[in-house]
Amino acid sequence: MACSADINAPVSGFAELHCLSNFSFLRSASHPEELVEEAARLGYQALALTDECSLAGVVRAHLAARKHAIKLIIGSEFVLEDGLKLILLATDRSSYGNLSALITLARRQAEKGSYRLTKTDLALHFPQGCLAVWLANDQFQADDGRWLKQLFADDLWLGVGKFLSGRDEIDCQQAEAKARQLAIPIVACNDVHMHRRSRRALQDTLTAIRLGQPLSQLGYALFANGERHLRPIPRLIQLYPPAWLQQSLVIAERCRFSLDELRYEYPQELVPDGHTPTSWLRHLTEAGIQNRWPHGVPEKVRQQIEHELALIVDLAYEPYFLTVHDIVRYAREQGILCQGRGSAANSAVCFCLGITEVDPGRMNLLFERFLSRERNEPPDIDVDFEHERREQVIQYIYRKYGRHRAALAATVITYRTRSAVRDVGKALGLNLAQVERLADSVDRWDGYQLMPESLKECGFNPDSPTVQRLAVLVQQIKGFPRHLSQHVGGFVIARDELSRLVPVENAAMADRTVIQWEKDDLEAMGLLKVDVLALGMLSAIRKALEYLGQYTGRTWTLANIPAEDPAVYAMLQQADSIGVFQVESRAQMTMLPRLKPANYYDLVIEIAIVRPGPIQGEMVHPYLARRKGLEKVEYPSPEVQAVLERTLGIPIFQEQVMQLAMVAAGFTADEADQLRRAMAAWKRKGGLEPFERKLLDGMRVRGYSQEFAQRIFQQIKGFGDYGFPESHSASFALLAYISAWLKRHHPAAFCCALLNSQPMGFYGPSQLVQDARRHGVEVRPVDVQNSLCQCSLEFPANAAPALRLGFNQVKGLSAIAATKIVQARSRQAFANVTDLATRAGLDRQDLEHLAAADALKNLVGNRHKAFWAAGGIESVTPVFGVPVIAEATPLLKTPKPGQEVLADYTSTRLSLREHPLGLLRERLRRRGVTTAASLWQRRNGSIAQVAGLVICRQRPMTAAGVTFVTLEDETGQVNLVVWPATALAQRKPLLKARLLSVSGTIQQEDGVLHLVAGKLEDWSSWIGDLETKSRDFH
Amino acid sequence: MAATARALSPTPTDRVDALVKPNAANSPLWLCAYFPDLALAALHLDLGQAVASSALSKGQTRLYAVSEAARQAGVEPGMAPAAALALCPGLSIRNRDPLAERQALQQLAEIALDFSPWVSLDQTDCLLLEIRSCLTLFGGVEHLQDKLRTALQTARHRPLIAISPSPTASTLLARLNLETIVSDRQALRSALGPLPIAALELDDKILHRLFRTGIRQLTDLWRLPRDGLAKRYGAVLLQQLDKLAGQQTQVLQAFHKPPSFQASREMPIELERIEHFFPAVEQLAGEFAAFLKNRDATTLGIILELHHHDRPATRLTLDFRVGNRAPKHWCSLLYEKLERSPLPAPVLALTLLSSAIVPFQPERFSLFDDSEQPSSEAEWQAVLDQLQARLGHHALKFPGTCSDHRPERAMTDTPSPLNANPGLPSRPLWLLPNPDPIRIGDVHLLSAVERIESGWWDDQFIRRDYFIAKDTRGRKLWVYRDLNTKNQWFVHGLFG
Repeated sequence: MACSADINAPVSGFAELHCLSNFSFLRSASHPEELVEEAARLGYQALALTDECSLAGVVRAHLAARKHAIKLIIGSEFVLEDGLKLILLATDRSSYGNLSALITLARRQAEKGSYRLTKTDLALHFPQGCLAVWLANDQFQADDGRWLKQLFADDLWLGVGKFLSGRDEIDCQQAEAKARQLAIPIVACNDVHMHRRSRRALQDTLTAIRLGQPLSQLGYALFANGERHLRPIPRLIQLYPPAWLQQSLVIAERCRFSLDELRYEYPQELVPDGHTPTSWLRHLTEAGIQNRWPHGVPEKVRQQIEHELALIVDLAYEPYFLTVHDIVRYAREQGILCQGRGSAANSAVCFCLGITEVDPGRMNLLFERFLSRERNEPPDIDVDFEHERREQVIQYIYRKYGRHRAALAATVITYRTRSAVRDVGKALGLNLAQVERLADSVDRWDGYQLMPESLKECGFNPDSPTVQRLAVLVQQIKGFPRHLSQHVGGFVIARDELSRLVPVENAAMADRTVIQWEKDDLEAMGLLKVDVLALGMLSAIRKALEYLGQYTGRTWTLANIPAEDPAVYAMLQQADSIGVFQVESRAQMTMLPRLKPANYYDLVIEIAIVRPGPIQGEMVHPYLARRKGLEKVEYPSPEVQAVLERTLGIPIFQEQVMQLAMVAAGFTADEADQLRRAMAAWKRKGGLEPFERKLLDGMRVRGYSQEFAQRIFQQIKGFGDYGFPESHSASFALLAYISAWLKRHHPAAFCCALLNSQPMGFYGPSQLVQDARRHGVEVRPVDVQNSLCQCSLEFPANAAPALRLGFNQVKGLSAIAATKIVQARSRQAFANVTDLATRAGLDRQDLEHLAAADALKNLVGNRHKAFWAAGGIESVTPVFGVPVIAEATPLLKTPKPGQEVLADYTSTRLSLREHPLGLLRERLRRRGVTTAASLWQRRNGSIAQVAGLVICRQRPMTAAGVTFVTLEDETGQVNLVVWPATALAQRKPLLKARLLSVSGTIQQEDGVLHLVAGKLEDWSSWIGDLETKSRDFH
Repeated sequence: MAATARALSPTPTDRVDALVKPNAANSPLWLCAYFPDLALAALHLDLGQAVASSALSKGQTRLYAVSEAARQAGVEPGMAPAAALALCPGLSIRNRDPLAERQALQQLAEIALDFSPWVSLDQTDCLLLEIRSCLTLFGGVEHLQDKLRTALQTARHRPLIAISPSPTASTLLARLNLETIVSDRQALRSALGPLPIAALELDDKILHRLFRTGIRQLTDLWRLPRDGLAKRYGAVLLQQLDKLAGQQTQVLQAFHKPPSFQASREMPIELERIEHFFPAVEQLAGEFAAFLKNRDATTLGIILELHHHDRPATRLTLDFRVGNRAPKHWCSLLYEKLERSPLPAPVLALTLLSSAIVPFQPERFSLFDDSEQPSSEAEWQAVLDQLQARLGHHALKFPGTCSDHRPERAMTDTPSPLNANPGLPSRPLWLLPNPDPIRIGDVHLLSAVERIESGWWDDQFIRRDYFIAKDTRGRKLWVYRDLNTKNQWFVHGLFG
């Protein structure tokens, strides 16, 4: 037989050159790490990762290859537009750059997620130095072969694989004939789609998902068997002639490129002539010192600065700090408020450079984890910008460095349980209703596993084979990448062409490009990224300061706001925090009266403690008990005391966990960092076990009790994804304080700023306005004779400012129309609707939007009349103006108060008239329904009935199936606790009601009131079509 | 007042006064029978259970109709299936089938034709009947209503019936579940006045604008100046109002029954022998063929009933592969059937019935070919008809292939021929229904291995290595080794 293997040939090695990972989305059934590990286990000499037009998985593969000591070859598979299929493999740094640039080209000229490459492209942008393996299909195109031969000359191979198709012999004979004809060698390569045969079912399932059809209908679209896995070398020796295997080693020998050779090079333009990066950073820091401490810098801070600078120079991170400084400087010049956060951001140097406002003196220099000499980890600085103006900053970066040098990092979107159930269920042919029902039950699944009980609850038989297949496949597919998306704001900036470092592709947003690597990849490769993030609160604070300036007659900056104002903390301790950054949520509001923050650092803790991490790690109650003095604070050693003293012996921040591992269990900084990563990933991937041993052993050796060690480990596990870093909390606490100060002292300006920065925060305009009114702010309605484009403050001399709602609250009214109204009015007030329409050039729709908001009231009387008048406006003709036609007076009804409130909500999402519940109060009272406010006067444990608009439903995963519902009536809000059994039995009113009535038991503790729900009733029909907005299950 | 509104009261018991005024005697009176459960009933769903039908709306699946039991659980039309299931976990959802609904409505229309010659199918969920002319026949409007309701309910559909001088008004009232009888136009306005404007067939935008101007009911509209309304909301609104008030005539399509054929012959005496009564069959066939030719139609089947004394009729059915109107062909098939099936009793009478009648589709013919020979395709079809009639419907099969890696699934028999899939290694023509175990020593393998691992997702998961082999008798076999049971060999097929 022509190509039967010679059994007697000596066992040589093999290098697999055609291997796809699951970064060839929905084609391959194995992670890059699994492929690399399996190849190493089988004794392959090398493995090439050749994902289809992508290098997205190479960093993971690289790290795995380093771990398992196997050679990794970087390459990529391409199918040209005319069907020609080939693999390109990088031999050295320059050919890697060419390959990366070619992928960029192919990706950039196609829609997001796909690529396009023609023969002409390949010839014009020839990847010099790359080796090519031609993967000819059944119909050998001789022309293709000759063309490739011309292009690649001696760097071309014909790749042939045998997959027990029954036609292997014929195919091999044809391949040999072809290779002889073209005078190119044949290399064996196995079109690897999975690391082991056992992934075949998953591979079939992925194919079904990719093609959007159930498995039963796929037929020949599936592979006939599972041969496309990494096969043992003896098996390959049986299959292929020795020469074919030998060629794989020849190729592997020529591919000497390793990702380790990639050197990130910083942009150079930030340093003026005559300066080095070091001297320029020193210069800027000294200037900053002058600015921050005009009367001389404290000695302790000076020491810290010198220490930090020395470290930065040591690690050669000057350009990074200069890059961030430059972006922040630009934002400052444009008056865009910004603030840095992250471990490096809260350094003294960053304070000097203006990257953060967190004063190192004020923070007691808590941040030891600034940078570490041992860990070669790039510094981490996130900068938040005003959300409405971040785009300006992004455009500045593109302008300054050019699009070929700056791009966003990718985020790999992976399968979560819910999406996995949906896609796998469809592939297995379950019907739509079944799949939806099952996916919907996911949040009830303990630890995101398929539980027999929840399956039964959804009407499935847990023993049915289909359900068991589903359970296995869902577990396997979880964590599989589905597509690349853009990172929220992580920019990578290179000195030269970025596309020669990593492929760049199109993002979903027009004019955005992302690189094929995500945050972890960048970190592993030592590439620096700057996070340019958007934060609504910064917009609101900037605006509030501006309004403050208007009526106080002076300029306000963040620096002018007095620190540590007791009145601010007194307000927060009463959970009076609607609108305040980070501490306004339902959960935070129940924590504030318990924790009673009294200074800045308490706020830092407050923000970090109401997180799934500390809650699941059961750190909240011990901390509160110790704070109240109910529990003694003890430390097993002085080292542990140094780490935990500021949080009363309870680890609350991510940094503390790492420090604990270092001081108590002897972890090195590097190991502690690995622990941090493992903590973030263990719920998805597991892998915390090796650390458990090490941690427990380390602590035992250092004399800590078994019980203490176990507790620490449980806390680490509980942290999981959600350990919140102190360095972030510190920056957030600053903004929380500033916003609280604004709310306390300037509620009108604060509310106005929040309204003009929507959407943001936890509450809608209605709640914000009600809260402002409860704090004595006069709020005036939208009025075509008085409003401005945005909400504004109206302030007669020496009186408290009133808040005037602006045209931006009017649903549907365009900003242009609003501007025209304000302009026309500045000349003369409007006489009537026709005058308004003519002078402001409004059409019928504009007028109807105004009528809907009742903004025409001063012109016509009531809403119905306003609509009739608006409807009668005909378009303005250029010569005759508005035609005036005498009309009969219509017989229109006067709107009822309830209708008015309803219409207010429809147009402006809020009403300044009575609260809808106020209109119903008489009826409610007859039914024995009490108000939210009066619950406070009731005895703890007594039964009460309230009714209110549902403004929030939550089922936090930390709360074991408990649903929290927030109701609002005219007196305030009330928080309901709905136990799972109650929820299940009364799911209809719970999920559907907009007006909900509840009888329940009052639970009052530490100034926090909950109503534990008993009977729920849906009274939505009472409020008709009132448009309420509930923030559900975020 | 000449109108009675009986909202939510399906029992038609109330007395209606002064039904027919002299001046209204010749103006039309329209009955609307609206079927709220049509979409569910057409799917043969059990209306006593929580069931719903869904349809695509703006690219998303939304519930289209829901049963009363589902409504009790909070499910409503327009909901997303996931939302509905959250409320009612036991809900069963099926895709809406507009074709089945149409067919169901047509059947109902055929019933309605017994009550009025003028039935319209213009709407998708209700029937409109002009009944003025038939009132005398049925003894008044209420009797007609009752009888119609009974007839429709017998067909397992629940109608809501409203009657008024305007078809639009009747439809509106029926859809609103107001089973009203309004006999003259004067009364119509006051009967419609309290209705919500939302019930009008108006653009949502216009409806919304009216609503916001404080207009909720039809009376609010009638109170406003017509020119002002036209200026603001367009002439369509006024037209709608006029239609409702019966002031504008409407053109509706009348429904007619689809054609069908039925003819009988009485035998002068009881006949036992085929050749004695078969001429009558031929006559009937000729009549039927003429009937078809007149309508330029063909039939997909015929039914011959042979009536006997004191016992049920013998029924012979022919189904054709394509539309046919050749009486000779029918007769030869019928004759063959009769020959093969002995009669239980002598024949008293014959009836020939049509099954589905479809429009005639002419064969392609050549301009220069003037031979009267039927085309070979038609001949082939005739042969197939004959074979199938002779051997029974399920006896005739075509070897076919189906896209599946598993050989048992790939080779299936189908009642009509399919194209085979090329590109696979050779497959035997004969596949054994059950693979036979063999000893591998008895055969000699001829080909390279073909490994098939597939079908894990259903109950026929196979993992096999296939070979072509020759046995000692020189037969070419298709054998495999079962990888699940290691080393167990089987013969799966024979090459010709």
